[in-house]
Amino acid sequence: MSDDDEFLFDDDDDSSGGSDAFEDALAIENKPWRLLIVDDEEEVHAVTKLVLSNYEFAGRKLEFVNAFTARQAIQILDEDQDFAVAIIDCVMETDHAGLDLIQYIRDTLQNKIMRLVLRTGQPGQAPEDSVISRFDINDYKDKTELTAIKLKTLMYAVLRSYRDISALDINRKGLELIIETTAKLYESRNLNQFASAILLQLTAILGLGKDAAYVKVVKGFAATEDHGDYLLLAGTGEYESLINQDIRGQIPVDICHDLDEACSVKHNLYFKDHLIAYFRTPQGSEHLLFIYNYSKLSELDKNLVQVFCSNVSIAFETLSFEGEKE
Amino acid sequence: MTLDIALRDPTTDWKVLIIDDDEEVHTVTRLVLSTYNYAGKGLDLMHAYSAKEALEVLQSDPDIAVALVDCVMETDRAGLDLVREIREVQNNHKIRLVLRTGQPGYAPEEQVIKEYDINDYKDKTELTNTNLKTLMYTNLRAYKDIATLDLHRQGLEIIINAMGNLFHINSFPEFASAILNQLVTLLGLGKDAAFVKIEGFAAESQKGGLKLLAGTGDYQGMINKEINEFLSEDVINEIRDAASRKENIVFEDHLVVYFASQEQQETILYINNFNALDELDKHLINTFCTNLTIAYELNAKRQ
Repeated sequence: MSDDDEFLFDDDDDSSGGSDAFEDALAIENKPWRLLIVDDEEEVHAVTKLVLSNYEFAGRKLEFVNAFTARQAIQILDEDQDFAVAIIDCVMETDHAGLDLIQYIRDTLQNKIMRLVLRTGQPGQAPEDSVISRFDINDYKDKTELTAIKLKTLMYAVLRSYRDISALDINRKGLELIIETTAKLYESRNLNQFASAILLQLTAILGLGKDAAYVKVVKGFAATEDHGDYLLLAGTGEYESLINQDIRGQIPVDICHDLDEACSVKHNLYFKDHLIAYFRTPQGSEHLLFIYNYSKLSELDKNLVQVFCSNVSIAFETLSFEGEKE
Repeated sequence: MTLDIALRDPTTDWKVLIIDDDEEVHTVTRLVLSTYNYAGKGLDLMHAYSAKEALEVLQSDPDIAVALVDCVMETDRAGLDLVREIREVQNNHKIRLVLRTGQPGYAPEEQVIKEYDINDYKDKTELTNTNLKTLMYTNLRAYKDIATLDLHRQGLEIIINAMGNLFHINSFPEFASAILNQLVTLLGLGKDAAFVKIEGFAAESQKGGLKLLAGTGDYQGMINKEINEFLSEDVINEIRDAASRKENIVFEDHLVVYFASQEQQETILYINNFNALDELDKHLINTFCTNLTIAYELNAKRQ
């Protein structure tokens, strides 16, 4: 493929092929936080949007989605639950439409991650004391309290807990994915199959919580150390065509340098936009996984990669493949 | 990360640390929150009078759910520095931090909430009774969500480690004993070992009878005995029931897991003395049981 060739051989001028993918990845990283505003007053929507139009948290802006009744909010959420926060008016089609919506989100949709704020104009209908204790909401605000500053503080408070909670939730999903796919590893009949299975597993883990477009830009390969060179066992993206070839002369020099580094320090290496996982089998062969992931890994992500690696190492120890004994 | 006992042990209260150099603030906060409870538990209020003292308390007690942090103490920004220390040096991302200030001039709301990893900002004048309680609900709720997910995550890590070991094991009794130990660990996760004495055994069906393969606690000495020799009739009936229905049965404080290998060898795991199972326990047990069958079968196939 011509795209691959450009990337592989054209070190000086990689502005064409490489940077598009990089911009895509950047756009995905800066994906806005999605905010659902549920209120029957047009003006509340307009003011909220005005106050928060330049608001940013962790380098990401807000995307506003508007619903004017609880029923409309339910329709939106039935299609798409990917919201960080919903700010919900209490009195809409009925006196307790907002409270019903909250119960629908928590109990029917079983969504415990989305942060819910009840905003009421008539506190008489939903007294703070009893509502905050009875309903699983994350804040209660009287509409009169919501000055511009208070609204921004509210967004920081709820987005911070959303960030913490969703990071843990993604980590949980990663662990479940490892569990689900471990049996697959043990079913591999040869080293190539095993290598593609672990490559796929790690790609999926790193892509969790990101959308499909992101997963497309994640690419990598699995290779085994081979008398000073690296034999490619499995690859995705432009590396797919290099299977069973020695790759030292075919991949960028700096990647090769990082592989050498991992082999000499004998542990995983994390870089700004890629990582290398290192495995040594009991038979003494050294295997490497290289993944481009375009985003900085958090401590939790690294912990997940670590769990993945020790799981793979145990599988390596248990299975022994043809050509592995020496 | 440390395990949080308050999350699962109904007798432990939520720990809340009040950090303020003004004695009166401690007294008022204590008064307002004295009868407060969330999710069936009260508060265990702890007190620190300077940022330095707070750091020491947090160091020795990492399960504090919420800290109310005054801004101006030893220095004009002692509270802010403390927040940074907790997040970046102690690396505690679980605790919910609320900055409470009497002199907003030293720590302007808009700037502080943006730059510091705090979970709310309150002017002391805003803190009426109702507001303080609302604040506790919102923060304890977030803390509970975070601590629950963290516990879940740790449970899954135990399962992953266990699975790796299961693929190594060659004999069936060894396999049963490994599973038993892992299940006991899973169910004990986040619970205080001093109060909860979880124990169990694995038994294998042989010619109509059931023989003990592996055991923990009091059951350890019963290996190779027929279960009729030492179990009460109630327990034996529950085990028979699980074996004839070929499924797991979960009771309030004990659990019978049924599991058959491809060669039709039937094994029963019996675990008792845990607190009531919550959704998390059930989920973890299910994940574990599904995968141990896969592990065992793959293992058998390879040999």
